Amino acid sequence: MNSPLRLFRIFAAVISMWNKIYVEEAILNSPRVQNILSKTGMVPLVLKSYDEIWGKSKKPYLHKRDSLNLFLAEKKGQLLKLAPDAYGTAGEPHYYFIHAYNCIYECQYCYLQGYFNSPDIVLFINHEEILAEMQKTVDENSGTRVWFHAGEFSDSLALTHLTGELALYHDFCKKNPKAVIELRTKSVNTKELLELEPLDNFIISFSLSPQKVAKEIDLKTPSTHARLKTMSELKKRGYKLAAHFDPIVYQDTFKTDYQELLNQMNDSDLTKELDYLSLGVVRFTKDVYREVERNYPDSVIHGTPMIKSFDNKVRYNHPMRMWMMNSVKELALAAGVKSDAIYLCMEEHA
Amino acid sequence: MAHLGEAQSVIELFQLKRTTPHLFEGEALTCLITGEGPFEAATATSALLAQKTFTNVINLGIAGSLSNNFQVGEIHPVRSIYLVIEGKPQFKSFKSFDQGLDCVTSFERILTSDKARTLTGVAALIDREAWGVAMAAKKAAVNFSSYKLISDQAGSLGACEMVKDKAQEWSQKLALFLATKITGNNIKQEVSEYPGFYFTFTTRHQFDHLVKMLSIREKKSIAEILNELPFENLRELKLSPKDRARKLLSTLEDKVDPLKARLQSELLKWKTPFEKKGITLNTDQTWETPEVKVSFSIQTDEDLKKVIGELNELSLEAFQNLRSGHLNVE
Repeated sequence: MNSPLRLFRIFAAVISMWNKIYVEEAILNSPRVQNILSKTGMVPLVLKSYDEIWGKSKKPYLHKRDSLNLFLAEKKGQLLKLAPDAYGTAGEPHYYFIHAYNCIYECQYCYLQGYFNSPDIVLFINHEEILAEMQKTVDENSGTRVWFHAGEFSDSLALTHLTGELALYHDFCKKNPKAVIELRTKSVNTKELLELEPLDNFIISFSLSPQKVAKEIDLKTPSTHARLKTMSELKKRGYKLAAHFDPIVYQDTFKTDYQELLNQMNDSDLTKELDYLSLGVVRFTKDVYREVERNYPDSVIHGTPMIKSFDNKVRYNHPMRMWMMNSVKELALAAGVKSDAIYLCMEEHA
Repeated sequence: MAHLGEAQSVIELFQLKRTTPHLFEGEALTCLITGEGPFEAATATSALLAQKTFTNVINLGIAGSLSNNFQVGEIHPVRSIYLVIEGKPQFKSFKSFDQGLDCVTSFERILTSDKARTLTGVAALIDREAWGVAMAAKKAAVNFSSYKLISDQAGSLGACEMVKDKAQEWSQKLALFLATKITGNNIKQEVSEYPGFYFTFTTRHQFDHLVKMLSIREKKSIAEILNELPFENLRELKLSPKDRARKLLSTLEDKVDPLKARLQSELLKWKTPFEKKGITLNTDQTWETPEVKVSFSIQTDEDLKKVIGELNELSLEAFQNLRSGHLNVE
């Protein structure tokens, strides 16, 4: 006999985005894992450690389109990483915390395609340990603001309906006014977020590209229009917002494209309210560039020459990227973004 | 081969696939990038020969000339290969061909004419790898041969810059030479579908790459892009087919790089007044480093005073502004 639960599970599995779900033995019975499993409706495969399977063999990045697996695991080793120079606003320590590997979206420039050996998603569920490490870091840096960025290896909102950890990090910010959490996202999945009260040190930052560019290179992501609508809703609720124009990709119309994007932001009164706006011109490590060429040979990204730059990354030449960055910066200033809110990301010149 | 730059055209011509960071493999040929120096060459070659079976090992690359009897750009078979460490010849030597020029492999770069002079009695050519490759091949009992393209006069001023400037041309020459040795045929260089234009396989590769880039950027098909190129106008110019192809490439480069033409023209404006006075301003072609190398020749104290006076007029501001993208480009 098929029980309603079994029928639900069969139905959910058929429509699921996951090919298989793997769970580490030690956390199988934890309420957090059981909650995630119940939402997917899938029966997991159990293993001792996620890295028995994940990343053991090189799985081509685009296999995520039809055989994306999910791993539920505990993060071992380093839970926080010091962010490199020119990451975030200057003068304060920046860290990123690792609560997931890989992303459900498929942005053509994404560095994850050359970073891991597998596009399969790992969700780490030991948030309490991550938070303890964050608390330790805040205590060690008393007197200064400490930034914690989520979304370095995964979109920070896209799967929150499944994972449900936002409240824990929100609570951490409430208790630690000197700590700032930035959730970097392209997602409009704000259901969990909207259940929380806005805090000055809990910032939601959206990566934005002009709609016509996003349509070409931000595959499987919400449209720019949808992201702006979500930003507008969050602003009305009192959330602190930031934006990243990163990566800026050259097209002959890039100035008018960014002007249009800023106009759309102005229509929703977003530009003046931005806590910060980061600007970055498209860049790759050599390995990622090779993957992008392989995975997206006809991408607009390959429409303009690039060179190996000062840090061995593949970029447009120096005059070109400075010209592009300065052009967009001028447009942003003219649109009302505060001068001290703009920073140039991952460049040797601020 | 020692460097990827030297080997680039071999890789392209023989359509070799990269299988490890230093190894490129095809059906009839495997190309190993040994790195510079006899120790590196010996260890890399030995490691490869221990893994795979080969019938021949060919050491192909550039060498400095220790004699005035040969022209830069010539390719010669190597007869005997010697080794010098700190200028001192070592006992062991290897044979490549019965006829040809002798080559000495040096552990160190020979950057001065004094150092080069002491080696002129040892061999006519000087390189950094041949001895190491030969040793590894001999140990593995594999046939060994070596060909060297004369890249410069060893120990002369500006030799390194010359090698850099000519790298692509020499890489291509080596590749074509190797092809004649391996297949016994000359590779047809001119691409027939564009009469009046002379493309080598390297410039043809650049042409295809630029056309593809432009088709992506302008969202047009390759055929549409080709239709819009000024083949006819260029054919009417009194240029050699090679120069015509070069001009076509330059036209394409200007189209894909929105700043290139403007940057070059502004840079030239800054450099020319000094170049007319014999002062050369060298800047990084990729614009990545802010460094400017200033060079000039003087013979007397008067010359020196004059140059110092001219240099007082030199300001880097214009170059720095260009590098920072301060251009009036719409």
